[in-house]
Amino acid sequence: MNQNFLSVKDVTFRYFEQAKRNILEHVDLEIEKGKIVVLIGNSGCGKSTLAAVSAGLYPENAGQLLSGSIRICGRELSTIANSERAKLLSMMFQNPDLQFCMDTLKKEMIFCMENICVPKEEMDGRIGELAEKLQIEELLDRNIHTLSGGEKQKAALCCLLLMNPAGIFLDEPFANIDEASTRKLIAMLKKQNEEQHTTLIAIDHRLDHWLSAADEFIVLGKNGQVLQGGITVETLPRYRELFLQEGLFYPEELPEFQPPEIGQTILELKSVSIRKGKRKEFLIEKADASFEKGRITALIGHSGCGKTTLFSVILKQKKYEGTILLEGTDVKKMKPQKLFHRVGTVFQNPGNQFVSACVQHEVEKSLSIWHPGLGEEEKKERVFRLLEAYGMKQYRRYSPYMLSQGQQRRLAVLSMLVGNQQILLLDEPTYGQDARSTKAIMDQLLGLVKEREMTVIFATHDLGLARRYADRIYRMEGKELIEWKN
Amino acid sequence: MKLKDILFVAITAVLFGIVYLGAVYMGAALTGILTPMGLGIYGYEPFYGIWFLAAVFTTYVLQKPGVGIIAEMLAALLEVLMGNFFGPIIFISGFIQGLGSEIGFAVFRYKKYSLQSTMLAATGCTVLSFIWTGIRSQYWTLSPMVVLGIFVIRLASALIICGFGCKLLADGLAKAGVLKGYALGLGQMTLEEE
Amino acid sequence: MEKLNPFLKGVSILVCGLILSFSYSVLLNGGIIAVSLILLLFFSKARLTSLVKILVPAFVAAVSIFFTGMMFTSGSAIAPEAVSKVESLNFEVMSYSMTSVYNAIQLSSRILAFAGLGVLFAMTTDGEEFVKSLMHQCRLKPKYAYGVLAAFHLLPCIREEFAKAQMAFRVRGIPVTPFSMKPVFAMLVNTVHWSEHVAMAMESKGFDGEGARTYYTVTVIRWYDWCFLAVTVSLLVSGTFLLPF
Repeated sequence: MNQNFLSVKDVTFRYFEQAKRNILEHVDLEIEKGKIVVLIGNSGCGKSTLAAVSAGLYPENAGQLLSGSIRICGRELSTIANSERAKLLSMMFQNPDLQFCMDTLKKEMIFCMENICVPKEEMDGRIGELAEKLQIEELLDRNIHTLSGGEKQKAALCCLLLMNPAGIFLDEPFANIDEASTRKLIAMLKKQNEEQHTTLIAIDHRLDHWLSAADEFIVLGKNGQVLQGGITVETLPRYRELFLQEGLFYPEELPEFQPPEIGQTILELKSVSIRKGKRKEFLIEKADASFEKGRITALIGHSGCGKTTLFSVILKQKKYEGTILLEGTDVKKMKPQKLFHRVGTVFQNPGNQFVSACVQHEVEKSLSIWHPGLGEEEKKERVFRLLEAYGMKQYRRYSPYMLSQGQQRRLAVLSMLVGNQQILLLDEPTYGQDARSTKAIMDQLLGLVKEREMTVIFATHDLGLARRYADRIYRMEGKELIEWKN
Repeated sequence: MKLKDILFVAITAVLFGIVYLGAVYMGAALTGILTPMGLGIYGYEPFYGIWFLAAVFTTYVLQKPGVGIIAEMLAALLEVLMGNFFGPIIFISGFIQGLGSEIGFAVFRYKKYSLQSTMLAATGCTVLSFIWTGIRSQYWTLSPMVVLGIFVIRLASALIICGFGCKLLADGLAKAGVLKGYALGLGQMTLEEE
Repeated sequence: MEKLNPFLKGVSILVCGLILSFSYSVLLNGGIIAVSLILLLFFSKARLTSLVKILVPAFVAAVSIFFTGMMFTSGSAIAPEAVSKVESLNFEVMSYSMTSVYNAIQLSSRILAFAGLGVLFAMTTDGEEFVKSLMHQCRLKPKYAYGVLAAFHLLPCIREEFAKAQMAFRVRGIPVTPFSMKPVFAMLVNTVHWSEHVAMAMESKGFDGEGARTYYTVTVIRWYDWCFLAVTVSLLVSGTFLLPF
């Protein structure tokens, strides 16, 4: 008999009592035991909330459950204690840095086993067994902080496998890691599913890497409603329209990448070497690259390979050896303020660079920094025009932190624009975004390149994104920077 | 307190600890300059208010009795983890500062959370910590003017950094809609998130 | 020293520190400094280089308070304007009364004695062991213990993110000093999100702040822990009463 692993019935959930709308509205969902199911939905449809509610983490940590019930393996969720629940359903999260409370994987594993009351005599044996099976011995005693994003996610998964729960909920676990690590993790998950019949429920806004593994795809719409369940790899083409209509990625073959002819160089790296922290070891060694005016260049590489560091070097915020030329002038000889007036930057977490309490002032503030002599009236008008042109006028009174991640990035780009910067550096501009939001961000950049002949350089771990939007692609591999060609 | 709140308090304490480390260099430089004049004792006083931040800020956000003491004790424990050379005695210092902050908020029976209460809490911290460091460093053997100077500088630092600073930071966070999961943020729901 | 139970060692040193706070003897201060150094050098694994490094700030503080004591001891205070003239300093030192010299030595040796006690603990105690010991011997709830450990282990992340935030403002053309409010504000926004994420990650791994759990290592109190407490405290108490000045 096929029993359900998870059944969600009529669940309504909101974050705050006074909020005007619910995040989840009468959601019903059933997941069969032993399956691999992928839930797909656009940003803000409530899929992460649904995961946290199903795993019993909400409303304990935030929000209120207004109606409905959740059963795991036939048991009512609210009656199960944490340690008991972790054996039934455990969860893996998106951000690799925020999943650990100890400093090494081994200690974290011990912490997990202590939680579910494993007798201490068994602990060493269980760790040893798993480490050998998954070949992670060398990860066990390294400081977690020194691991790459992919390794951190692997470590997080190992902790869950050690507890061997009946099911695992994965909340966009691959959003910030490279393709190779993603493939390895999926293989590990698939194997676990085959050997232990572990039910796997994954949330993702991309399904291409799940095609070989998943049994079922479920498309979620607004407020966590199931729009279409029971999609398999075979029946997927039938739902192409639905995917596009919901603004979701539909896996498609990319056209061949053809870089255009070499244009006019605006920014040039000449045998640039960067050291890791204060140590002698090199992070990047003797890198040469040239970035062309009015073009989009992508920097690809796994997380932690030094993309962000390279940006800080270009901005003179970190020491380096070699030469960087901005339109023929050595950056080392430029005054910082002058440099920042020509090179604008949006970091991975745009929240780190907001200065004002509302969107309108945010852009005005930038205008005052770069054009100090401007009159109040003219400033207001310019800001208004910009906000209108980029579809953010309705949010002008909002705090920047109230915007979604995608909107925050676009606002950060907007505040760069008023300074008339010619070069824009963007670190992971589409991190954690669905197809619609990715398109909105990238279209804004494409428009800038066309209208203002801006030069855009963006770093990403996503080769697909680079192929779709960039004119030229550099790949960071080992300590080298190589131009990528198909 | 829930685990989430404990983490909030602890991470805030770590953050303010890092801010303080930034100030330590300046404090050391100032001590160096003032030492030949016999006033090296003033070196770190202008930054003393940073010590009280954790207690007053978290109490102002969470609005529960006892948070100040817990925050300072967690901060002390973090200091020990980071290898502070004063060792376990900073638990006492932490407790005393936390108590000072509690007194400030208790004056309004934990019902009023305004600039007045953060200022009072900052003053409470200053007074109690002044008594404690006074005992430890035998302030009564020093000339009264110097001791008064210590108190005045410390109080000014506490009022500016802690009294004003906490209120400014926390209200800003509440306005930005970040604190909606906490007591302070609940009263500040004006715009609906899209 | 490392073999002692961290919690009881902490209590011993804490009690010593408290007694020291209320006793005023230069000899006692000197004795504490000597005993701490002897224990550190011969009965612990503390490395000499790191010991020197950690004692430098304490030494600086001691020197600075020594000068304060010299010039501003109550009753024999000299007008500040006289002292600010560096060339006259030698002459001034000569004229200091015995009380101010004694008081200066007293004050600075106290600072060093406190530092000696603190370092004795800090350099022989593993932080994590200490937290565990607090759970086992002091009944600290696991949610506080692991909450603090989690925050502590986030330290490198927080530091990195803070540096990133400061840089982000700088490249926006906004000058940043270590005391700028804006990056601190941005970091507090992160703190709110992080605390929720980390709490959820810990709870999804079955962590229950107050419920039953097993322990991989359990710290215990042995007879020599009590001995250490008894010996140190009684030494200090007798020192307080017996030493004349």
